[in-house]
Amino acid sequence: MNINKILVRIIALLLFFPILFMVFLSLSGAWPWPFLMPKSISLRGYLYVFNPSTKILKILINSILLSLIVTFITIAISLPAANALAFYDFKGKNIIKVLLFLPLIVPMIAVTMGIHLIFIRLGIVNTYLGVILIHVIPGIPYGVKILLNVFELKGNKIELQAKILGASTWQVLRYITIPIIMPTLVVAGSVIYIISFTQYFITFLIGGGKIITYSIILFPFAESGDRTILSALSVIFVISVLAIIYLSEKLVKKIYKNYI
Amino acid sequence: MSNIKIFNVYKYYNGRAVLKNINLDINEGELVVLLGPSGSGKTTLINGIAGIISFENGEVYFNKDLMNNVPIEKRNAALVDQNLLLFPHMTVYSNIAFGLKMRRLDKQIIDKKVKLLIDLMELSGLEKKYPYQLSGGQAQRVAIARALAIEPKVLLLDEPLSKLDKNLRRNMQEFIKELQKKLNITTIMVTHDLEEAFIVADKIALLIDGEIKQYDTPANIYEKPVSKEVAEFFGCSNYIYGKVENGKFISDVGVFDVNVSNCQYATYMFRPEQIILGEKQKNSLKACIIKRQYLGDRVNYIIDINGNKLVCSSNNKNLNIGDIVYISLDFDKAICFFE
Repeated sequence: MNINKILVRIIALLLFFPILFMVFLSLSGAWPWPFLMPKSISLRGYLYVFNPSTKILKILINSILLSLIVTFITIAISLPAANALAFYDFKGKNIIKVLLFLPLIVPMIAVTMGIHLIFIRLGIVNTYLGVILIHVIPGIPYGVKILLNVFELKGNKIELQAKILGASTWQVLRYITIPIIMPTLVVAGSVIYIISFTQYFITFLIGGGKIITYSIILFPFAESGDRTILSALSVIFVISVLAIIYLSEKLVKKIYKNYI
Repeated sequence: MSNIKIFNVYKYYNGRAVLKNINLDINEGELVVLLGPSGSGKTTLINGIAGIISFENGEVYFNKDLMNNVPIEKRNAALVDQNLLLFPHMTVYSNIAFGLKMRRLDKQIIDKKVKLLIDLMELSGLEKKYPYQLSGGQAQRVAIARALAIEPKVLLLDEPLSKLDKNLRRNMQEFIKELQKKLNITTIMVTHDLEEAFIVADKIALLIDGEIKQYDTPANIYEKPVSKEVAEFFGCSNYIYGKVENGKFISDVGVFDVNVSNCQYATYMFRPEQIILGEKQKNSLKACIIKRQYLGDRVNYIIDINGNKLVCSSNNKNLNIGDIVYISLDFDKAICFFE
């Protein structure tokens, strides 16, 4: 075995070990120190998660829906924004490009504290609407930046060609731009979805404890140290994210196959 | 199909005029070639006609309709870009049908039209192929078919053949010319290739530095250029400088009978093929070959007459450097510039 193969295996192990360990941990029963292996195997973690009285599955589905809506809104904002930044010349364009990254530079806590006051005035704290809106903010820099790079690389000549052939702005977007940038949209969408799905603090602040997302139920277990349940929750977390990304990619491809 | 009128068009980039006082009248069914070196403003002009850019000044009419404020998608001026810009995610069929689909035409009508175009453009059997599966010539024909599908008022071709190899290019030139005549569609084509312009054009508009220097038939623009600049664009020319007195042109090369009035400074221009090498005759001039350029079908000889260097092109390939030859100059066919 040469050095390359060894390196590949080490890196793979380093990447997969935490996940494997998490799966392993989620199935373990009592596991006192100093034993290398758990003394028993237990489904306690999963039974807890799937027990209807804990409402965890319901919260998971709610969370998924919430993050999907956030993803959709964020993409809907990022797409025209990136398009404008890529293809139109206007004053202050470069400043806007920098300002876009503010939500990443300024800690989200600080941003959310400020927005919290505004949301109280608007009466949308403790509501799904408020949580959705606050989740959109950290996603936008990623959405715009990913799409902007693709637009700048791709240019808009092909869109102009579609216009020449008589397509309206909407038709160009629907039949040309979106199908061509679909792989990028899936990537951007995945990133935005994960960002939204993993938000804990800003959900807690704007949701006021009334809007419970999956991340919110995860947190107390991390603090209390029930590693079995925490691991089971985390495994479900990972599976749900992978499943959503996989399914949305399939679905989107299928929809667009019929368009073309 | 329509006639196109371009009136007094100016275009500026960063304060620099790239198009100056452009006026063009194009009749219905004509194929006009915009010819010029790179950077002369050809693409800018054709983009302006398509509506991709707007002109600072001037008017564009299709028939009698002013197009200045008509958006791209409503102009019905089909531009075929040099990069073709086929939609990569669509089949040949969908590419051609695109413009019709956007107009929400009936599916059967679209199908009929697309099939007609596929036959016309010799694309049968490729309907289900994607652009990346096509050869250069096929992709070219799809791009043109897609443009023709919308029955444009004017077909605009922006160096459409520049990416094809030479043989394919000749075929496509013939193809475009025949197609254009068959459909009688007003066409504007941009090229920097002289030969291509001569093959396809009904009229050539020569664009240099953003100005139309001459707008005429291929024969006229080559044989009767209005200025030295135009003449020089169409290849190497010989100039003989002198003055005209009492029907005689007096120059370093010799004294010749000409049919023009007196003039202090006159310049006669001869194309290389207008200088005829031959036997010694009454009016022939003695010259010495000082350079020889072999070009395959002909040879360019650079000859010296009394210290003046002239280039002449001949089918006679047997002459060598140092040979003494006799040339005759036909001043009636030469072009004369008075300054």
